[in-house]
Formats: sequence, C-alpha cells, structure tokens
Amino acid sequence: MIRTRRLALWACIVVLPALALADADDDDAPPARAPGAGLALTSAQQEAVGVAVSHPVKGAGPRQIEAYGLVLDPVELVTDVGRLAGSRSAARNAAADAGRVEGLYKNGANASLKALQLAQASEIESQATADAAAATFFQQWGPVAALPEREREVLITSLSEGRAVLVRADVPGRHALGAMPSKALLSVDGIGVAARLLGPVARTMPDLQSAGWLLEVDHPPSGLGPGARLRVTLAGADVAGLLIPTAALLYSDDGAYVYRQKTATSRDGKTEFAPATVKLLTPVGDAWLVSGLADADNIVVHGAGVLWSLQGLGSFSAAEEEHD
Amino acid sequence: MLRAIVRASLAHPRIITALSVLVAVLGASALLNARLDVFPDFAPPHVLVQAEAPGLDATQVEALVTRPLEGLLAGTENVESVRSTSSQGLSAIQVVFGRSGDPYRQRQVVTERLAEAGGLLPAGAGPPLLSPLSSSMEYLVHFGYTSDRLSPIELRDLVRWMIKPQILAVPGVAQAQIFGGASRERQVLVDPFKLLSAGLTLEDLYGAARRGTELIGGGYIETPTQRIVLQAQPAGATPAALSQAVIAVRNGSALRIGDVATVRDAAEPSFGDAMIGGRPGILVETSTQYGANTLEVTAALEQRLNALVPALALQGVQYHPALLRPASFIETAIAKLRNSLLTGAVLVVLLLLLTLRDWRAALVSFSSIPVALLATVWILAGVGISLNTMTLGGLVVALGVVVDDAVIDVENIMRRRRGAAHGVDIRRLILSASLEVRRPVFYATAAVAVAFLPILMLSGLQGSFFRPLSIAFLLAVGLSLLIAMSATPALCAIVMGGHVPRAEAPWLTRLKQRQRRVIEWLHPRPGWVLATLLVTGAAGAVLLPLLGARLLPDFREDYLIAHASLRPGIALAETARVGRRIAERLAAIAGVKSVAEQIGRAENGQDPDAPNKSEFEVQIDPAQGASAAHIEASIRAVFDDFPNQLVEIYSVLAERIGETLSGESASFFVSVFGPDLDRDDAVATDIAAVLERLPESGAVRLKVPPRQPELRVELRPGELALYGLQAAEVLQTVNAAYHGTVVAELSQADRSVPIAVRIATGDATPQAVGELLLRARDGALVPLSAVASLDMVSARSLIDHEDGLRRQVVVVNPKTADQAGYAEAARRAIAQHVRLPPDVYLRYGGAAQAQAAAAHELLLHSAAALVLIVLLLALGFGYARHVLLVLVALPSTLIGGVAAVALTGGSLSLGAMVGFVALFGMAARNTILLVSHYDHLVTAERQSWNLATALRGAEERLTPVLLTALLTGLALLPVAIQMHEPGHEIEGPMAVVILGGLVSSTLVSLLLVPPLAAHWLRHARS
Repeated sequence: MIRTRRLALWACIVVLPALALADADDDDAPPARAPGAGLALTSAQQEAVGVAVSHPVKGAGPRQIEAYGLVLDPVELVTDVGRLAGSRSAARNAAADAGRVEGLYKNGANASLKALQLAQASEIESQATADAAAATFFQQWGPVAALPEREREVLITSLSEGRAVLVRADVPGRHALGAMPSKALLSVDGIGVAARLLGPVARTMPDLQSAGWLLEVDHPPSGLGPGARLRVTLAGADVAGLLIPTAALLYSDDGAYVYRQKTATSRDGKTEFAPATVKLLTPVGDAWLVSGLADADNIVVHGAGVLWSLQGLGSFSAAEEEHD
Repeated sequence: MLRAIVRASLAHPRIITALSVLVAVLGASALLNARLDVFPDFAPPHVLVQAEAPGLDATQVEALVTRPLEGLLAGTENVESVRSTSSQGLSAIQVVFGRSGDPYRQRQVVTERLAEAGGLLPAGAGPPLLSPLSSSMEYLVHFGYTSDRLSPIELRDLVRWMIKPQILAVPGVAQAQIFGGASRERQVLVDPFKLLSAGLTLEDLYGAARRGTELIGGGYIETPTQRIVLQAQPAGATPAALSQAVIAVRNGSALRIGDVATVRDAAEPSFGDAMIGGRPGILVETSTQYGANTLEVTAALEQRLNALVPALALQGVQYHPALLRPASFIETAIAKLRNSLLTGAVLVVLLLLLTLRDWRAALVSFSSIPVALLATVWILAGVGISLNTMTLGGLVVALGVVVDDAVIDVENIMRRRRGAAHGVDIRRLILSASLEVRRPVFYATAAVAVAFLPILMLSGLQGSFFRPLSIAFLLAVGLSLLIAMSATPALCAIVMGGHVPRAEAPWLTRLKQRQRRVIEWLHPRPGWVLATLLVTGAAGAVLLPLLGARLLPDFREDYLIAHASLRPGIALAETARVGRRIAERLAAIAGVKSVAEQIGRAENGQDPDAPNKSEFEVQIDPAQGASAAHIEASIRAVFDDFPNQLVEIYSVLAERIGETLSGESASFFVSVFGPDLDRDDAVATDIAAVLERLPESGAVRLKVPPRQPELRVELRPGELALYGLQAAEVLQTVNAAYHGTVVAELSQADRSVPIAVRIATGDATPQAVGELLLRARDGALVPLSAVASLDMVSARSLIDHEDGLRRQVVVVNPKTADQAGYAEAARRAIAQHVRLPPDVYLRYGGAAQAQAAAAHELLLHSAAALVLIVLLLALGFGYARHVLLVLVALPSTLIGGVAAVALTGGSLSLGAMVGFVALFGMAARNTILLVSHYDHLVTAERQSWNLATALRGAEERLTPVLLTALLTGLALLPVAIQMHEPGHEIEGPMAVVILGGLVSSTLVSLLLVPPLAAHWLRHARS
C-alpha cells in the first residue's frame, strides 16, 4: 500500500499532480481469515511451547475417602456388653419368674393375682430394659454386635487387655455411607497403620455431623489410647480407568477435560487438538484415574495450559498475524 | 528602536562584544550543566490510586471498591478523565488532570478525597494508596539479580530490605518495584483435623498468633544512680518460638500453636514473577521523580548499585545491570546529534571562508551563530526547560534563520565596503548597511515567528511535545535578531575597521550571470512563471497529505518491549514456564544482549497486570550490528512459535507515549461504552472483525480479555441456618484456606514479616474446595459443599472503566506508517458495517486520533497565523501587490520539501510538519527580503522600477540567499544524512524537509519571483 502510494506520488510529481488523488480503497482488500481457527500447532510450535503428548495408561485404584478417627474407650464397650448381657439375663429371669408365678396362680397355689401382675410387670420392664440395651448396643457397637459370639468375646478380651483398639472413623458431612470400604489406613503420627473394617456404625456423631465406620486395630502402637483422634483413609473397591497426570487436567463449567490430539492433521499440516471431557474417578498420587478416554488416545500431558490459552485467545491469535 | 540598538552597539563595540562573549560563556556553562532528557514532560499530571481487595473477583472489586472510590474522586477539580481497571483482588484507578495544574496540589486534593474512603470499602480491603509522583518517561533503570546459592525468599529479602532502601535513597528515584523471587511470610499452617480435635476455632488461633508476636514496651527501672531501660522482645520472633505460643489452657495443660499448626517461613501468595535471561530472579524497576534529571539520577543510581556488587558476589548474587535504561538513548542521541552539529559547524566555517574569501567576515558571521544558540540554551536552562529531543529540534529548525541573520548583515556590509571609497567612515557604513536590511529582516523574522505560533498553541500531548520546540525556536530566532542588530555590527566595527574585503568569488559572479539570463528569458513569459508557481504550489499542497501522517517516528532505541498476554486465568507458573522458553529463544537472536521478563504485577506496582500478562524487555547490542527493525522481526518470528501469546512490540518511548495519550500503548483503538458488558463485548467483537478485514490492520485484540474460569461459591442460607453457620464465618474460613489471613506483622530490626494463618488443604483442585470443613456454632463440622453450591463458571477477569462508564476496547497496531489514513479508513468501515445498540457508543483514540486532532488544531491556528502574517506584511510593505507576490510565491516552496520526504521514504510526522512550518518561514523571509530590497532600490537609491532594477535586486540578493541556503544546508546535512540514527528521529525529518525546501525556495526567490515582480510590483516613486 505504501509502495503504491509512493509510486503514485512520484507519478504525480513528474507527470500530473491531479492524477495522484487515486486512493487505494481498503474495502477492496481480500477478506481476512475466518475467526475462531481451531487448536492447531506446527511441530515447531509444539517444540517451542513444550507440548508433549502421550497415551493414558490403563489402571485401577480404590476410591479413597478421608475420614476422622476417634479411638474408642473399650471400657464403654465392656460396660455396654455387660449391660446388654445383664439386661438380657434380667429379662430372662423376670420372664421365668413371671411364668413361675403364673403357674402357681393358675394352680391356686400360694400366689395371688397381685403377685402375678407384679411379676408380669417386672418381666415387661426387664424386657424393655434388655431391648433398650440391645438397641443402644447395636447403635453404638453394631459391627461388634454383628460378630459371632466367639469372635466378639475374643475381641472384647483383646480390647480389655490392650492388644487391640476400636476406632470410629467418621466422614464429616456424610449421612449415607454407600458401599463398604475394603481397607482402612490410620495415620498415627504420620505412620500408616492398617485397620480391620468391622462395619458401619448406625449412630451419627453430632459434633461431626457424620456417619462412620468401626475399625479394629490389632496391636496398636503403644500410647494410642482412647480419646485420640487420627486421620483415617478409607479405601473403597478398586475402580478401573485410565491414568493421566494432574498437569493434563483442566477445569471448566462443563467439568474436567483434557486436550486430545486428533488423528488427522489440518490442511496446512498442523497437528490439531480438541478438548475431551473426562470423568474423574479417583486421584492416584500425582495422577488421576479417569474415564471418558480410550487408551489409544494421544493426550497432552505437558503444556496443556498453552492450548487452553490458545483456545481462549480465539481469533486474535498472534500466530495468524502477518508481520512486516 | 532598531536604529537605536544598532547605533548603541556601534558606539560601544567592545562592551557589546564582551557581553556577547559573556553570554556565550554562560550559555556554554548552562549547556554543560543542562538537564538532559529524552522528551519534555509530556504526560499530563496524573495519580494512580490502588486498593488491594484480597479474595474478591473482578466484578466484586468493581462493585465494592472501584465504584465507591470513583464516586469519591468524581468532581475533583481540574480532572480530565478517570480510568479504572478492576481485576482479581485489585482496583487500580488513574486520575488524569488538566495540564495546567500543579501536580503536587492535585495530588493533595486526591489524598483529601480518599481520606473519606475508610467506611466505604469492604472488610479486608486495603486502604487506597497513591503511587509516587513520577516523570512522564517513568522508567529510570531496570536491573536484576539472580543467585544459584540463595533461595527465592532469601534473594527477595536481600533486595527488599538491603538494596531497595539504598535505591530509594538516591535523589531523584521515585519508586522501586520488585518483581520475582518470593516474599517471606510467616505461615501458621493450620491442620483442620488437629484444630477440630482440640475444639478450637480459627479465631482462637488468630488471637494467639497476634498475642505471640506483639511487642509491648517494658518501661524502665530507676536505681538511685541509674535508669535502666527494660527492652522487651516479642516471644514469637522465630517460627519455633511462635509455635510455642499458647492458644488456650485445657485441664491445666496449655494448647500451643504448634499443637494444631505448623509454623514456618514460606512464600506469600504471588501476583508476579520475573525471569532474567530465562532464569528465575529479581527484576527491579525504578522510576524517576517528577522533574528529575534522568541522566544524573541514572548515573547516581548505577554508582550506588555498582558499589554493592562485590558484597553481593560474596553472597552468590549476580547483578544484571541496565536491562532497560532509557538514559542510554539520551546519551547516544545527544552524542550523535552533537557530532552531527559539530560536523555541520565545520562545514559552515569552510563554506563561509570559501564564499566570503575573508576570514574576518567568516569569523563575524560564524561567531554570531553559536552565541545565539548558546544564549538560547542559557535562557532555556534558566526557566527550567530541559534540553531534550524537542528543544534541540527547535534549535535545529532555527538554524536556517540564525544562519541567515549571521550572513545577511555581513554580506551587505562587505558588499557596501567593496563599493565604498577609500577612507569612508566605516561605522557609518556599517550602520547604514545594517539598517538597510534590518527593517525587512525584522518583519521577515516576525512572520517566521507568527508561522510558529500555531505550533506553540498546540494543546494536549502534541502541545507538551512541541511547545518546548517552539519556545526554543522563537527564543533562538529572537536572540539571533538581537545579536544581528548588536553583536554583529559591533564585531564588524572591531575586526573590519580598516579592512577592505576581497572581491566576490568568481563562481558567484558566474552564477549571477546565469541568473540574469534566466530572468531575462522568463521576463517576457510572466504567465508561465505564474503558472509554474501556482502549479507547484498546488502540487505541494495536494501531495503533502499523500505522504502518510503519523504522530511520532520510530525511535532507534537499544531496547524493545514486548507485551505478551496469555489467556486470563492461566497459572503464574505456566506463564513463567512459557516465558522461560521464549526468553531462551530471544536471547539466542543475534544482536540481543539481554532479555528480562516481568510477569503479572509487583506489590502496589504501577501496572495492575494479572499473571497472564508479561513484559519482555529486550536489550539490543548495537555493537553486533543488527538493526532494531531486523531484531524486531526476529522477535516476532520467535513469538510466532508461541501462538498462545498475544504480543505487541514497542520501543520504550513509543510505549510510554502511547500509555500517556490514552492509557493504551497501541496507536489506534476504539472504546465501546455501554452499561451491559456482554453487549459491549458483542459490539467490540463486531468491530474487531471489521478491522481485521482491513489490510493494514496489524494485531487486533480486545483489551478486556476473554472470561476466565472461576469456582463460584454460592452459600445456601437454608443450609447455613441448619448448621448454625454465619455467612461471614464461612467466607472467612474459605479465605483462610485459599488466601490466608494476615493477622499480625512481626517487626524486626530492619524489616517486618507478615504473620498469616492458613488452613492446610489437601490438594489444589476444584473438587477439594467442597471438602473444606467449617465449624458451626455448636462445634459441628460441616464441609463447605453442605452449605454452598460450588459451580465452575466463566467470569470476567477484568473490568475497565473510563469516567465511571464500563468499556471494552478494541486495540489495533496498524502496519502502515500512515496512521491518520488508517484511522479514517477504520472509522469509515466501522460506520458502514457495525450497528450500535441504543445505549452503546464509541470513542476513537490513539496516536492516529491524536494526530488527526493535532492536524485539525494546527490547520485552524495556521489559518489565523496566515491572516496575521498578511497583516504583518501589509504593515511592513504598505502595498497589496507586494503582499500578494509573497503569498503567491510561498506555496511553491513546499514542493521541494515534499519531494525530499518522498525521496527519503519518510512520512509526515509532526517533526516533518514542523520542518514545513520552518521552511515556510524561511521562504517567506527570502521573498520578503527580495521585495524589500526592490523597495530600497526604488525609494532609497532612487532607481526606476523596471527589469534592470529587478535584475540588480535579484543579483544583489543572490549571494546572501545562496549563502544562507548553502550554510543551512551544510549545517543540516549531517543531521539529514544520519536521520536513521538514534537522536535524529525528530530532527532528521525536519532537516530533510528544510533541505529539500531550501532548493525550491532558493530557485523560486532567485529565479521566479524577480521576473514576476518586474511585471507586477508598483512602487510609489515609480
């Protein structure tokens, strides 16, 4: 344009000034490229910005839930067991006594109607006490109650002798527990200690507003006693998926996604990329187990931010400019 | 009065000469001590108000911080515009004042207004702070530090607490902004699980941290003989000590901070970073105080910094000097201009000797030139005007008139002396010879001065630039006139007393013969002559606009600045990673000496840039021979491999000027104003699409960038009530988890460290935010997701206001030099293709717009000046025909200037425009002096008005006209030849225009005007 003007200018100076008024009209310009060009990079650009692609790796891992643990006092369990057994025994005795007094009364033996009624009332009261104790026990120690008698006795003995502790693991804010975790790991001063999952506890812990599981820790570290709070990791059943590094993940209002390399290149030979939504299953170290991809996909594992930036800057990309 | 001055000078020639020498000495002294700068203070007085609002996003900052502050500032006297930017955690408001005001007073007014801001801002927002008052160029020196031995925190500590105070102690340094490294923060990293276990709240911890670091004076004890001061020390002076601070006592046991939290020194949240040569480091950006001498302050600062280098080296710290140093340009520019002028001066002396063939005459002529220029410098320095590109430009433009003044007197005296009888009273001869030319010279000088009035009266940025040029020009011309009336006759009287000059040079005689032949040939053809004058005049006027106009030329600096933007919302680390790769590539370009990168913003920095923005400062090594244009092309080629970056490359001066003009660096932009941001965006996108289709559009972008992802935390009141939670408590916990709450400031001997309480969070993913535990009033723990909806949304990263109105800006850097032409084409295209909603309106801006405004203003004032010149000529000549002849001849002189600009491939910058104004004045001067000489011949020497008289007058004027043209041409030739060298950007085009114009004006006044005058002029006596 400038050169044209200069030529025109010289033509004007030399020939006829009036002819110099021709002004190139901008409207005649060829149309610019269409806005919103795709995410495409040349190999030089990929090398420059540090974009690297790789296949996601098939993997499986447990869903993990972080929980807060509280070491329970075995005295409470022993007391509750005793109270349950005692109340049951009292209920049985009361029932037997009521049956005996009723027999005597029916046979006109030395039993008044009043004595029979007292015995029956006592039986009902004892049964109610036994039922309440049972309900309390099941609410508080459900998994223990569910154990076979022999196992429960062994557990209580272990607890009483300090060879094991019971831990209640709570997940704050959860009122429904879902599937039973398969494993539990306690963090005791940063050291992982495996625990056995006994089962879900029915009673919500009011100060955590949570549901919890009961765990048994055999041979607990010395010093770990009732009242101690611990961090617990509950591991659910393994889920299968594809492992991708955390750096490959981006987040938008549509959820998490990664950039996937298209198989075909663009007309100008550039490698094209497109976002692919993924479902996050569970974190595994510095990676995530995800679904929504195929293991043959080529995923941008390094430099995803570059593509994200390119996508956001849209049609006014510097790459498309023609520079002087 | 003119006669009285000349008489007085001739009466006391030695005193006048001594006074002239004294003035020259004073001028030389002023020149040596002058305040040197790149440009005059071109920026209007302005203040930058910044208020930090941690944790708020752009829309919240706009509503809660920017709007109230804008409300306070609205109506402040003498305010021209208020521009603001609301971004994440920061409100930045620029208040621009009228140029007439006192910057210190205006700053005071703003401070008073902001004093009322306290109750208006939300809790957690910092107080509005004013940036220091700095010069227009703002940049002083940018330098950096890197270290392999020190950690980023240690390096930043070193710079922040040891080096920065020394920088600010240098007189003239206004501010030192630090980018990069990591700011030390004492973090109390709360384990939420332990806090829960201990039954404590965050408030308990805040109080403990505050009390643990509080320093309370101890008082003193007084013995009978002594007073002993108790020096109390804060207990929590170290992380270990602070972790022992007691939070509460439970069952007789103390619960300490360390029981529920880890106390450590770590980096505070960062909004910026820096890379020096692709390595992480610290970049320090200093700015000059308002009115400071850039060269002196730079030298003093560098001396201070150099003194620190050995001690820093012992600590393993490398100093990277002059990563950006505007003073280099001043030094180079001044040195090159000085060399050009010295070369010109030598050439002038040689030509004077060659032409006048008389060393005495050459001495008198030549000596008056430096005296006039040095006297101008003396006065400029006296009134506080710095010596800069523009004032030097004024002196260069004035050179033609000054040389003419120096020649015309001496030549007339010599001509008369040659023709005078032996034993003539030399003083009387000098008096009459001097007075003969004095009156027309006075009118001619007045006409030139009037021609410069439109430039003097330019307003805005153009006025700030060109007013010093006009002042320098007018002063030089005025003083030159005074010297021509006083010192020149006086010196002539001293050195030429009994001296008879040699005859005129033969080549001049031959030229006169040829001139006579041409005039005699043209005399019978007055129609041809008139047609030639009219056609060339019209051609010059028509072709002038075709040259392509631009405000300022490209400055050949040793530094280039590349503004790069990634998408808003990008992580700081990613910007740094990409930046490092770019820096490595840039550093590999031949001719690049250093590359520094600043990312985001500094604390209370001037630029409120987000982490997606970075600025590469590239230093060019002139010794390697690569041109700035070539290196700029290479830089662009590097950025082509980084398509995720929007990039704009400027020279430092162009960047500063652009920012000053409109707050934008780009040379053309369209502001879209409207209350609805989405609609503004839609209109702006349409405009951008239209502009992209223009072939000369370079980079087109929207200033307010695309949206960024945000995780919106929307509290649900029903759920909050269910758990007995208050909204503010929830937000405070979120803030503590993801920003940190500064609860105290630990003051130590020479530094202070903020104490921040943070909640340790597992992993930094959006999913983890919902798992943040809140503690209800009854102690219950509730995850955030139970009481709030968490949604990823796209939100605005930045909201721009001008004068309180929301705006979107379409920014363009046209690829053409004809910025005015581009602006017009863009305007037409937008008007044709973009339909505006009812409440949306546009405003055009940028250098092109300013250029158009300046041209319009110049045209208006020039018309007034033309009327004034006509009146002045009428007053001087007293004949309408004389005035008309001058006016007919003048436009044709433009053609030489136009041709020169076209030949050299230049465009019509304001510098070239000034050249045309000067040319106009010089041409007028030639014609006025010729016509006046005709008057003199007819009235004083009683010649009849005919061709012979016209020929004689033309012959007698040939020597001074030719000599002036040659001398001016030679003086300006080195400047014009080196027009592509640093320092010649303004003066070069001026010199080119004047050189070209001198050819046409000389031909017109010596060949075309005499034959026409012979036909046209009527004299009273004739």
